[in-house]
Amino acid sequence: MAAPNKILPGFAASLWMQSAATPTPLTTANLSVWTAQVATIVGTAANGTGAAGVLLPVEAVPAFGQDDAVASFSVAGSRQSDKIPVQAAPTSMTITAAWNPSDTALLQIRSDAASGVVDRTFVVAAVDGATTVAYAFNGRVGQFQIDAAPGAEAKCTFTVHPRGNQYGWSNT
Amino acid sequence: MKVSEAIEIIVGTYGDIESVARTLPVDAAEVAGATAEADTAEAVALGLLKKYNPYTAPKATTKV
Repeated sequence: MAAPNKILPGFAASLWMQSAATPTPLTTANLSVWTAQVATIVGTAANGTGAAGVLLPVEAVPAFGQDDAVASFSVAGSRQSDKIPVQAAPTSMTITAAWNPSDTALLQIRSDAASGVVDRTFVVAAVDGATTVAYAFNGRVGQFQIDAAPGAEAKCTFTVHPRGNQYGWSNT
Repeated sequence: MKVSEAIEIIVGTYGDIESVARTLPVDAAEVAGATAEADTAEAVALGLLKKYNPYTAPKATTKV
């Protein structure tokens, strides 16, 4: 998987997703292609076109990327075991957003969570001026909760579980 | 398998494109000569094929 080939001294991150109710997620190879692929999901505010995407109004973009794991092997009679680093599934993203019952993106997320089988392409766009580095992945929404505590604004929390191997980096 | 067929398979898969590219039987010389437009899925696929099918041109032999 290609690593981003841009270095951003400072950036603002935003989260985007395909806008269709039943989208066709990008194939794995296309997740690494900015032009006409990832750019269509990212809005103009993050240097994309936004033709097929919508911004998710999250409070903060959580950690994203790949987890590491280790496969351990032992041979009978051998003094030491062997540990092989492997790539586990991409990190699940638990996200908090201010709950707005009329926000199109949040309603779509709630619908996806109710379904549980909708694959959708999500993009984390890191923007510095005219330069964008995008981390795109396919995932399913696996949780959606609304916290309507009276002492604060209502919030919703949802978790996006990326599909294994389906992620890619691209940039403008 | 032709390089164009291999690229088509890699571009269309939702699986692990690294392992798919690693297992496709292609001619390394043909891969080395293939080109694709930058920032396209085809370029991503071709890059993986080149990674797993490195080509070394044969040395010219001289008769003694």
